[in-house]
Amino acid sequence: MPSELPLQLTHPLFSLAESTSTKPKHVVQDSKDHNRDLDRLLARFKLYGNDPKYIVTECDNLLDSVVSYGFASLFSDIKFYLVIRSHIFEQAYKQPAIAYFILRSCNNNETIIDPIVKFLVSEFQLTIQKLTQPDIQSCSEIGPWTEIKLLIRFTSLLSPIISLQNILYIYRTTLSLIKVVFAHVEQSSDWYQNTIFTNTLFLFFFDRKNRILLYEILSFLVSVPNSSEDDESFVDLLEVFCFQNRTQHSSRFSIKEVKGILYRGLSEISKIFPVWSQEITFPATVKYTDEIKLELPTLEEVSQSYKKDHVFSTVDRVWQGYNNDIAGDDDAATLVSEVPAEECKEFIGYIARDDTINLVQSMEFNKKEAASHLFNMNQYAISETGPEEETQMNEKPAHTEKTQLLREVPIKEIVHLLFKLPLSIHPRIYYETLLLEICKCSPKVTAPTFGRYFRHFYQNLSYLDYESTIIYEEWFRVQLTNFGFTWKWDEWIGDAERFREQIYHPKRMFQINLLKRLSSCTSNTHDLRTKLPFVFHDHLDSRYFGPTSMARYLDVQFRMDKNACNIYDSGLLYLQACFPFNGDVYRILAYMQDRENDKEEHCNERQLGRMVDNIQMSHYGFFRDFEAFKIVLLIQCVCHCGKRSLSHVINYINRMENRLLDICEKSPIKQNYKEFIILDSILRYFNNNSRTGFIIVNSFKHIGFVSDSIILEFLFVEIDNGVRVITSYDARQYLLTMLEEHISLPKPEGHLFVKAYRLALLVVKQALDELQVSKDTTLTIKECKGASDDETYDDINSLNKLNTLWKYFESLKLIKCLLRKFFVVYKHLSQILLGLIRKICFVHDQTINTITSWVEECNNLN
Amino acid sequence: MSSQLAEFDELKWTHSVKRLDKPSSYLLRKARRNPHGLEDLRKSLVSSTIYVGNLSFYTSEEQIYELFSKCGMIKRIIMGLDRFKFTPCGFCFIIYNEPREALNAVKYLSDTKLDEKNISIDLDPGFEDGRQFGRGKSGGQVSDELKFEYDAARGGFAIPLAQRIAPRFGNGGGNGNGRRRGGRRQQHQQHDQQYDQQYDQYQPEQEDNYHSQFDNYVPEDAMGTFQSRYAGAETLDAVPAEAPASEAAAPAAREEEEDSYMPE
Repeated sequence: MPSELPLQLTHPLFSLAESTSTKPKHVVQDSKDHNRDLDRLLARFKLYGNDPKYIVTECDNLLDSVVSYGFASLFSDIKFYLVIRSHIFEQAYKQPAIAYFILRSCNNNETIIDPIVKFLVSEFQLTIQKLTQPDIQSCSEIGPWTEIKLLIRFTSLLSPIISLQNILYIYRTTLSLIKVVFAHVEQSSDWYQNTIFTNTLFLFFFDRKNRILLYEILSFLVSVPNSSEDDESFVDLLEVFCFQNRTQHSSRFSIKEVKGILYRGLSEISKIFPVWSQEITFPATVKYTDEIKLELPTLEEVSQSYKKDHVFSTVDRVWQGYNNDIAGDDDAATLVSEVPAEECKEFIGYIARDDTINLVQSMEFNKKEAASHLFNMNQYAISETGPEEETQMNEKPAHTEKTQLLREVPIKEIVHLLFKLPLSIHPRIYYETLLLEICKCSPKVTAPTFGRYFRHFYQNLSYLDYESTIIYEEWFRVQLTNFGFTWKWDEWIGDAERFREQIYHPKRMFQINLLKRLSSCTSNTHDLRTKLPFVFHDHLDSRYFGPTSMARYLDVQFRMDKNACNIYDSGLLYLQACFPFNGDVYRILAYMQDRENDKEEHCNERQLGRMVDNIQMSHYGFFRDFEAFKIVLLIQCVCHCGKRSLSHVINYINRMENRLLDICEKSPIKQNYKEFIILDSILRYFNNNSRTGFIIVNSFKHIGFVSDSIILEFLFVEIDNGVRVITSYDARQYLLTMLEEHISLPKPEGHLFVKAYRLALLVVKQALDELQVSKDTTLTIKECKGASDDETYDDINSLNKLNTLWKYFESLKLIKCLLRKFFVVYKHLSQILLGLIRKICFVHDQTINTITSWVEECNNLN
Repeated sequence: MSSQLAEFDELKWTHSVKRLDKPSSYLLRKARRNPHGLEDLRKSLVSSTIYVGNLSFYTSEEQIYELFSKCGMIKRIIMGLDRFKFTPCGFCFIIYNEPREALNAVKYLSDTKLDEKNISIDLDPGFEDGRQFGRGKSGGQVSDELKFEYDAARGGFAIPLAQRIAPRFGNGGGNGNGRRRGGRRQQHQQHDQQYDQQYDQYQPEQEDNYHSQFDNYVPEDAMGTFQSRYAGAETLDAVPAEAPASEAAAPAAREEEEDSYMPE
């Protein structure tokens, strides 16, 4: 439900609007005309500031219109304040432009200073109250701390009309508020202090020669403690890239830097502001001098609502986890850097990032507008670096690099938010489609940046986290499907050929899964095929069970010449002429499709059983294990009946549920094995589309045919020398979805999570055994990557070893992903998890230490 | 009528830009003509159902599931069908577990491509049996019968060539001015007129009920709806509705025929 804040009920401005209304007579006489004029004016106001080049001109034009409408009338209308409020919070990058308009209005009519300051004070008070609400999410979409930050920024911009005492009072009160709240929750308040008090620089945006203000603010900032250098606790579990040294986070702009700028003096401060802004001052007699009073919550009030593991809403939550970097780290030299690791560390870069995050998070309800504003913001940031000089083609402009960095800020920040771990604030599809919209705004300008990010992730797939790989694949796929599958596929040919034999190589797995999934996104696979180099054509038809596995499967089931059967056929194999009972299969299908048979279900349960038993009697010697085959046949027949669509399959499952259950119950096969057969037969039927297979598995699970525990085991089974939960992205996604479903239950079953962890440990153990490593051997991706990139292996053993090394690292990534994603459950099971490491008898120190440190980190996650 | 929709018509100032998870102008237009319009609009804001349009006829339920499950847990997908041929005709309804998920889909997935078509998504007050059938004269969607452009993914040309070119030679139809000028734009205006006329003229069998463009003609109980249980959240106690004995038995039988159809 779209939330509209209950501002109209609570906002003190309503009384203000009623009491100070001084509408001109002719407007009062015709309220409809008045409203229409106001609506037009506000509609124009909404567009104001879109282009930084024309802020001054647009402001002049707007002021002309306001003169005819009446300043007092506009500044006493609640609609105007609603518009101001929405722009302060949703389009924070326009705050200087809005402040400029207000200050110019105050120049025209000094009486409006009072209502505008009262509006800000009332907003402050309302936001402070929100901190004591038990459900902050419902009363503030972007979060109270973000609201406070943005209100302080706007108030700072209006410093020319507010007395110095009042400005200092607001800053001091905010500092007290932070101390009260964070003393209670025992958390570091550094992030909040940095983000809020960086706004002190905005005090000088229009008031550029106020030395007293500079002195007082410096004195105030001395009382604010500098953030500690080591406050960013590094949590490996939350890193997008694994097995690498810690990245240097450069996204911070702390109070220390603010003080540095202030110490350099007013002339230096002016340089950080955009070229369009100009000094606006007011005499002290005109400024708002009434004493501002803000009521802070008491410690008791805070303690009642503000818990230690408080769930912050949207932007507030970004602050908490805003430290994982996706860019390359030159010092560590582990990642291949395709995207600029170097941030624009100046104030302008910090503000560009901050405004981007605010806008992306708060304008989530309209991705198209958000994209277009993000595009405008580029112009803002670039205009703030000064006009671009005209240069010769080969000549590099003086500030091109900075401009380029600022241009990439929105895309970079959205990618950050998309890959945010452990949880994304909004559904990830929002960030994916937002990036899509930005790309649509100007494909030519943005495409190179997108290309760099895609290549960056691709080049570093060896380090990319288990879950992040799926996120990357999905994002890439969304982008490709919306732009006609256009990509420089030739770039990947070398990798495809080099890693053909390494089934666990991350790049190989990525290529196969991406192409397979792309082909299922379109009904015109021919088009896709023509765009791909020949080497990738096989990937489009890749299957969950390869030909070797299918041949072995038939061998185990039947006494027949398996060459007679076309194992490349998908769907119901038993309709092929090589199976002597194919006529019976047709009859079973006809029986299942006939709705008349649903009526007398009880009789038909036996009828279906008899039809299947007839097969055994007629072709006794053909089957090696008819009881198992019976289940396979019935399950696959149900799937085949509903092959038209998902709904059809599910419809048939529901119709046949009782009859199938009856036959399965009578089967002498052990329950676990039976469930395993059911799973296997579903996925073999949907062999060329395992994603659909897993959806159907889910349906069978919910009617009790298969259990989660068996599904888990099935996912970890090695098929065609590959553990599918690693090599198949469909299996990966299903594992995570299944466990997510469990975690949302009121009492998630801990044993299932322990089992998933144990099975992953066993894969690691298996890989280590195959590698035959000693206790103190150090395994690094770098070696493994170097070897496989340079093709140094010369025999099959080296190749196998390399493949096993990849298996080892990929299974470790799986453990890391499990511990992070389901930390809510795992943090209570740490003793069991550590015990399992001992129980499985790892001898490799590096592995033991890595997993142990992750389990410990998991305990500290909130 | 329009005053009844004041809460949807009035300008909102609480956000700096309009929300995407609001009823579209199309829904508002329909609501104005419908005595229960306001109620429907309110329902659509708290409904878990969305309407998805401009799908390719070849888009499968699996593809729809794959894309839309990114916004939440899907309870059920109801493919829009040609009411004569029982083949997909380019729209569907998706029912999520929660209204929030439906709103997310409207916000995030509108105007993205699915199977190379830019899909359109709208809020929906809730699916009712029978709405899965196209209400155009030929059994598909009305909008497809009015389009002039060739669209392979949506059945090619909808109007036979002779009918389409007839107005150009003054053989009746069109605006009666013989050769038309103004190119595409004028054609579109004429489309709109035709559309409006057709909308006004073509009455569904149950005149008392409000039907939108995509929920108009309903052969009652002709065909059971297919419920899915991808997430297993919904208990499905009903198999598709029983096929009626008389006229409507034919479609049901046809469905059976299609079920047993073997692809080559």
